[in-house]
Amino acid sequence: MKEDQLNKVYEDQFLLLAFVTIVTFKVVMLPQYFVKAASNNGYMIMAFLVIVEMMMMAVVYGITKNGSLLQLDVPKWLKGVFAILVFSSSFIKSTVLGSEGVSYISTSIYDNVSWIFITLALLATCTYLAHKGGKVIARSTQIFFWIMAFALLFFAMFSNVNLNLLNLMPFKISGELAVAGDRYLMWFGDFTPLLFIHVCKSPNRKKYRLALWTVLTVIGTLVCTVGLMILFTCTFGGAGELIGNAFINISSLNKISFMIGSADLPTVLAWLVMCVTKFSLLLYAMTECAKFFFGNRALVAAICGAVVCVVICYVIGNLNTNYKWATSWLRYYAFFAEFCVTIAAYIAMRISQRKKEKTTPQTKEAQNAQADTSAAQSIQGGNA
Amino acid sequence: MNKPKFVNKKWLVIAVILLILVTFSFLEEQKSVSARSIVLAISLDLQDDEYEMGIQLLKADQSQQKEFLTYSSKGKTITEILERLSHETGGAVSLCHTLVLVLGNDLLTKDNDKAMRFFVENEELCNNTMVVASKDSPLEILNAKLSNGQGGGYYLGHFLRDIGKDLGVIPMTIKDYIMNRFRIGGCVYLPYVSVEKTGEVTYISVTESFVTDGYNSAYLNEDATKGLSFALNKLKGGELSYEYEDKFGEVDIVNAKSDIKVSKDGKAKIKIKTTFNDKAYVPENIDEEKSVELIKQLISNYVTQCFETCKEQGLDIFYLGQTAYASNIELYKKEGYLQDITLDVSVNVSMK
Repeated sequence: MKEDQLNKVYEDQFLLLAFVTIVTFKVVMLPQYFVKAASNNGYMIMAFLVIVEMMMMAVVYGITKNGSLLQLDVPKWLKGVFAILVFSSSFIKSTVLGSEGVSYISTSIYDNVSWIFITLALLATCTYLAHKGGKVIARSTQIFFWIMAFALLFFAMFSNVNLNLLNLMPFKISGELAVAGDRYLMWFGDFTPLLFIHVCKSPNRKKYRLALWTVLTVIGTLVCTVGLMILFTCTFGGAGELIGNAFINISSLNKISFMIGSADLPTVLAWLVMCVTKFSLLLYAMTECAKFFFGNRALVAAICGAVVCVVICYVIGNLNTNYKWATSWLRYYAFFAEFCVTIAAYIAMRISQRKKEKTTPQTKEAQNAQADTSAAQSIQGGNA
Repeated sequence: MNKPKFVNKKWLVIAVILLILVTFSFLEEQKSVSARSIVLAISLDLQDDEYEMGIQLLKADQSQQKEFLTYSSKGKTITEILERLSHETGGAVSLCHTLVLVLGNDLLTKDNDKAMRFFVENEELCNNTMVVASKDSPLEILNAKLSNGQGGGYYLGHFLRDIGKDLGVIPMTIKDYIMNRFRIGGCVYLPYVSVEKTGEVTYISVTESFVTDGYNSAYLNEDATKGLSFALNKLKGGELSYEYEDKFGEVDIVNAKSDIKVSKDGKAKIKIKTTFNDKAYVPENIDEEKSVELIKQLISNYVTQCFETCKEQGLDIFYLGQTAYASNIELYKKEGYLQDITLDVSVNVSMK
């Protein structure tokens, strides 16, 4: 596959990637941390930050439909700055969030297996996906999507959750919410990896279907983050501060487990595939940035994977250190980089577009039509 | 000229990943199911600052004969005991299929929830594991050889799952236990179980409740337990018996709901709305109006008895402090707030 084909994805694939990017790590340890910091009102800060994140996704979409970040018509030094910021932010997130994922797998699927085995297996898969590019990650996620959908259906059919709405009250907007939001910033603002893909219209999709998918993605994201946080608070109340792995504890299939004991595999699988996608996206962002400086895609992907593996296993190593890293000053840096790069890239793109319009007067519709046609043709060429 | 392709690159990568996964799974010491001791029930108590833990296993031989085996050990920590029990049973002790956790009074009132936190935080037990309190030594419940041939813990686990929303004891899962401990007042109510013998028949009695906030405790008799059930459980079944002039009547519960409110002046109100079916048994000479009056009075007495018994021990059994907190009433902030609260019970009965 040609290099420029690697990062082209359709709009519905972009929505799926955006959903996975936002949801994955907000449903594991974060609910527990929010209950610790903001008691029963943690869902409010979750809602606020998720909405901000979704708004930023719209900006990312605005950029990527004109090409990936490194294809933008901006000075090379600026691309270099973007690459450094995104690389460092993705590196921090892949190690901190990655170690949380490894911890989840080691406790949920296995009986406290050593981190090294899980990290190696996970990174071998994710590095391969990262090396193959955004198109392969998006296509894999589309296939994985059915596992997630079946797991949610399973949950709806067999869950037997005892909800206590009293646990949500009283509704209070207090300083605790701001403190919680500040302390757990690391779990928010994960949109820069998507800046490296190039979104183009699917040739066979009608416009209303995209609108429908967009609405479903927004609703799905809110349900899976804010809805889960509400469900978590209703189920565990203040005791939520003892309950890690919120997703698995909320969605344990009570009716089945009454008969055969713990049966969490569908939930674990659903989250695992989301984790693979998210982790791959972070490594993919690192690979793209490193490739910008050093060129060889396969080599930089392997080196990035190896470095992340070493940091997760030998520097972080356990969930306590992971928590310390995630709540240290690194969170401000990662959050700043995510927002700064996205906004700056959008501004730079608009300036370059204005310049182009001045030099070559052409109607906007004609430009868009041309871009869509060429993108669709190139993607079909890639598939062929 | 293109070089001939011997191996497709994609399949090579997939083969390498598979090889890594398979190799790692051999390297890691994962015990197979046959090398594990699957625990069905656990008993736990505190004795002289040491935990005494018992586990019940099911051993099935080739002739389909079921044998319930009980092992026990003592130690300073649960981890230490589990290691010892693994050694004794000859297989790694696996707790994730545990049906019931039987706790002793001392563990519930003196341990400060250390053991329970261990089970919850380390995700040792399934969220639906039932928790009960034992009148006598919890190990006795596990050791009981019941007349139906089942092990005490195994029987209890299945029995509690079956009663669900019936009138009587309220089954408590470990998930609900820990949630209630974190509510204002920290009160938990558990089925209070004991081994009973009538002639040759040995059975486990599950009709009463044990209430504790981790320090104080109260025992609810059968009537007060019914009051607890009407106030806190959304009932969907069971029978209620009543008495009138030496005659007995019985009604079937169709459903029952309750609503608890606390006002700023320290008055709590419980509204219980019930629907009964009087087809079960109606004594002669009682009209429906009279029986409704009797049932209302009976339920009100049960609920009041439950509340007063717990109030005497400073136990906020109906979570009135939590209700006040949820309504932004600062009543709960006062120490001993429960003593200032008066309870008003109103019962609405409709017959089908």
